Amino acid sequence: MEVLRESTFKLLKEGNEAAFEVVFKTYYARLQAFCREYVVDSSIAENIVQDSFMTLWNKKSQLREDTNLNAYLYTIVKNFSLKHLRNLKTSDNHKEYEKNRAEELSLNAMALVELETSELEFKEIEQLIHETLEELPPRCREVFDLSRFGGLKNREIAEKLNITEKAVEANISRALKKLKVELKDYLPLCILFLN
Amino acid sequence: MDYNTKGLSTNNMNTDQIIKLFTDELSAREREEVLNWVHESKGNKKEFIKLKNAWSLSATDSGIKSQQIENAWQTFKIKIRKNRNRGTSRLPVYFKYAAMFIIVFGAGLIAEKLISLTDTVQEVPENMAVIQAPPGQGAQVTLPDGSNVYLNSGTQISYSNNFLQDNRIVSVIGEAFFEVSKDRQHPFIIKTDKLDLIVHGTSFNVEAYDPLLMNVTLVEGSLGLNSKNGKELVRLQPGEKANYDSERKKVSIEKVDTELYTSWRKGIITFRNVALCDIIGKIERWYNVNIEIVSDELKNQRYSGTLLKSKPVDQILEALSITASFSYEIQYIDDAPTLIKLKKSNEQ
Repeated sequence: MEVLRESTFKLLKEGNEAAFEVVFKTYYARLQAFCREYVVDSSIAENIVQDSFMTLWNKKSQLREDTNLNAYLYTIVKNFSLKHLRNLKTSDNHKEYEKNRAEELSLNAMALVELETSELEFKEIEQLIHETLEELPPRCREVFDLSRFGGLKNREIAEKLNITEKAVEANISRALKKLKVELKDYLPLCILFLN
Repeated sequence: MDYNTKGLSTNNMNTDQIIKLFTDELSAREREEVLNWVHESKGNKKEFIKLKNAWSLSATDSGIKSQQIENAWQTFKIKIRKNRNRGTSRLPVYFKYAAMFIIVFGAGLIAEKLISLTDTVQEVPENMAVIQAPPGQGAQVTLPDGSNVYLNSGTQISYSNNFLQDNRIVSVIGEAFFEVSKDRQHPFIIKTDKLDLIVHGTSFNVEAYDPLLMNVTLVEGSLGLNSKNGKELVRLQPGEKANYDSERKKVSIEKVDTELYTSWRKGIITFRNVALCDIIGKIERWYNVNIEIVSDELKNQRYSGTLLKSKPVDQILEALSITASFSYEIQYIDDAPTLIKLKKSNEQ
């Protein structure tokens, strides 16, 4: 991941458009992908990320020198996404999704609430993900990358690597389970279910 | 250890299935199975949450193309530039035309003459003031009592020149947003061909383009919906939208985010999960163009987003086509509205 230079940060605070462009283009894709995991709809994720950058833009002068921009942006996206998911819950829009989808979205909201995005921890999370993926066996890593970052369906991965779909699934599961173990401190700490 | 296939425990099965839920590779039935499993126990919920969050956090990249990022940036840049300029000009570009028009209208009122922006001659009783926003233009009008009215494209309002004598009656054809000045002595009444609205100090939106349907959205205050024979059908609370079906004579009320139905007056149209054919209807009215959706499967695709009405129609379509995977073709026709055809694009 690119690290923003101190000078960029300073320019950003001053409202320099070019500096903002660097920030926008550095974070846009990952934030959009992250948001889409919870809200499911790509165009909604795009809107939420746009709104999030607008919040950053409006508050740029209040940023501290030591603000972890990554954590800051993820937190805004998290909050906007939750707001969206909660609005869905209360509005009539639910009818338009099939019942299952609505249920999945409410589970997503539940998961997102538990996600820790506050400043200090976030840098560590990134580091951890990177290290965890590095430690995976090559084939497992390859399958995970193709699924996660290449956007390929399991069937397509199976064809490409000439393995069974079951093997693809097992490899993705393995990678994710390892991530889950390594990231345990940032995933839910203590859950209170109200329903 | 063999991670490849055989002898998966139930637990393992579920992880695989949960991931397939994330990657959208499940049938409706399988999806339901997974969701039921999640709900079975606290432990399962916890497991789901952990997997979901680990999965989402690992979304550090994803197949988003640099062109998409560039487009997103261009959209964003326009927004921040617009914000910057706000200091110098309060009204959106859309209303500049209207500002000019109000002055003309003011002069016209003294002369008790019909003023209309379009050149069409209409038979109107002589003592009526008529204000029209032509297709593709909006207008803002201040009524003699200080109430503000924003007219959406192709909308006409009219009122008699003894407007303030007994009561304040305005007739509306089309869509208008009202900010009504408080005046208990003079009830404010809006007449449409379907319903009459009795205003109790308030701001609200009236959409009456459709010959059969009518929408009224109340932002603040209170508003009565009366049938044409004077019977109060319902009184709206702030945040409520009434849909009136004049064929079935039915009013249905829903709680809405009023911004969605009233932001057009600020030159912004916001959609949440709206079918393309409905969005196209608004764009047609706004820009006075005809849009034909050639590929049927496009019609019911749903979109969310915000359009700035001050932008030219081709830019709007360009922005929509990025997410909507259609291509468009513009045909300029003499003496008729421009025709635009939308086709499903073949790529991807």
